Amino acid sequence: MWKKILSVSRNEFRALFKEKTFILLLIIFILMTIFSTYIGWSTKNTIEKVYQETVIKLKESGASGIPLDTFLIAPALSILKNMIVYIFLIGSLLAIIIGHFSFMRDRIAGISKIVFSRTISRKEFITGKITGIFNVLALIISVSFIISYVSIILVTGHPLSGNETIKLLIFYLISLAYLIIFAMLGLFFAISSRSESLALVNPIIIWIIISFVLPQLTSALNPSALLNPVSIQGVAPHSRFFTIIQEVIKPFSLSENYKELGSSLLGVGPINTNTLQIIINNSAGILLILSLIGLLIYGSIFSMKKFDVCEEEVDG
Amino acid sequence: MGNSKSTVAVIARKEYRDSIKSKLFLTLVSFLILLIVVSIVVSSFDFKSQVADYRSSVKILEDMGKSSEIPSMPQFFPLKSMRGVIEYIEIIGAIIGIILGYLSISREKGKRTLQLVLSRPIKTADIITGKFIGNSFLVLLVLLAGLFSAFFIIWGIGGLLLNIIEVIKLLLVFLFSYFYIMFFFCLSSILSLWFKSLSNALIICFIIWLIFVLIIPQIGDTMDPDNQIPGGFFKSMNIDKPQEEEIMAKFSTYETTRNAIEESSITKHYERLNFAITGIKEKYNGKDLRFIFKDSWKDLVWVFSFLLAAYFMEYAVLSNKRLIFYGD
Repeated sequence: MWKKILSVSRNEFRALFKEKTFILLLIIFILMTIFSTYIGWSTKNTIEKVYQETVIKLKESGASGIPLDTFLIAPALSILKNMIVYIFLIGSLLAIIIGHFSFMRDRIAGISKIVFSRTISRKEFITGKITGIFNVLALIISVSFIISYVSIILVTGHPLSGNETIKLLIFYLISLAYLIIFAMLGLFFAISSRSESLALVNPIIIWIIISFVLPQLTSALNPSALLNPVSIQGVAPHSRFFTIIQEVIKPFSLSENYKELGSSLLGVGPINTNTLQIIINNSAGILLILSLIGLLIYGSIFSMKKFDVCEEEVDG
Repeated sequence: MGNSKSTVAVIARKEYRDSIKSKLFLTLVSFLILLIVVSIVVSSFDFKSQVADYRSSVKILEDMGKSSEIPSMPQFFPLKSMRGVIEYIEIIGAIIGIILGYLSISREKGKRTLQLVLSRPIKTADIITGKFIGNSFLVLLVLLAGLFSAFFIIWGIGGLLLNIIEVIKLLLVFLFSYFYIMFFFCLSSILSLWFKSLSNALIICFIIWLIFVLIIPQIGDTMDPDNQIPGGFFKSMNIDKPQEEEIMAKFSTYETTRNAIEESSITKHYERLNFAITGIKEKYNGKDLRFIFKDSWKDLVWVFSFLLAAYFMEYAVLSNKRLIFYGD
């Protein structure tokens, strides 16, 4: 059984790296990982200088009680704050495409019609696909982790401490789990949708609901503000209406839970050095991510069981 | 000339009929209308809650005998509640344009009718114009539905009836939204014509959408020094606007780079233009259109130029018969 699963998984891995569009999106993701450190570093340097200029201006005007420089004490990992947004924007879209291609490729080529005439069950086939997707995503996240780790050392000029390395590692592990959700969403719709374009657009609509609509309902933040890790940190319900909605919806708002956890680990906003405490504080969010992964894997296996192998050509 | 007109009309009618039957299009349109409604309802309720909170604070202050400390009542600017709508059109409106462009070409490619049409004595320009006009009707219909929803929600929940100037401004927002969506329609048509695999064309289009609509504006926004603290850096330092401008003048290279990054995206131009018209950008709140366009005409030119360039590019691609017939 495992031999067949591994064979499907290996094939999945190889086939994805032959897809030009996947490679293109992967390059964008890797480039943004590199730029993320640079943007963070450049912005931090500039705001430091802007702060100094502001202090001079305030002193000239005779102002007292000048606020302290909070940028100077910001943790080294905080310059990676844009990675939270790039993972939830580019990474999740990349994951949807990985999941989509994984089965749609076989449907278009007609492989899904004939593969089960061989001695492989539907469960083995889909388990192999899911394992292949996990491997690809794990590789992407590992590359991203290494780039972030090396670039942050190059930019700051000193190595990360053990605690910082653990935090960065946990951040990328959580990010991997977050991406698996979207890959499974792409896979689920690739199996269950009758048309190729609907199979791609439906998970994108769900992605928009998760990324923009639910957070807007709980915080009244508009879509563009949700792309700035700093504005996300500053959100507090400013009326009874949003306090009630936040209490009801926020525990289920996937992207907000991910962004909060990511921000805590990278030290954006209030600084918490205790990694275990961060995990405990965000345990509900972690549980939500893991539950969704389980639910979507089950959904994909279930829809594979129901998949009509005699279907005519998949619609455009 | 008469023939050309009727050819365009026939193609436009066919495009309209085909697209309006598409489940994919209808799903996206319903989603956009839902988001427009949610967005305005949320901001209207937000305002109502703020007013209710204000009234209870006033009552507490009055009971405490501190009437002199009562702050001014929050003001509701109905067009400002359009912010969410504009941002959703930036995201979903662009996807609607992409899907319409994709469907417009994929239908023809799938049935190989495009080659058939091109082998007849029909001008390439007539095909492009017919497709453009047919889909324009659909986009305008969707935007009109959005416009009515916005108008009635602001009236019904916000309790404010827009005056004639505000209605004109609202109409301008929807006209520029039409330009913006049609740019993505042309872009998607170009890629669907260009690529042999329609699935790859759609994914590349989504990648361009991701870069234009989300990544570029995000980079510009997070690089803004004022956005480094929730609520604004300069506000936290008690620095007013003229002082802020004086300080930032010393970082002109950084600001020019940041601005150049933002300006490379049509989305940012579309956003700046509509934020000025609706007064979301404080400087333009309550100002007349002449004042607004004195600053914003460049953004309008940019949005229109993007659309025009995409339209002519589509014409150039469709004129390349070798690409259409043999797909190389």
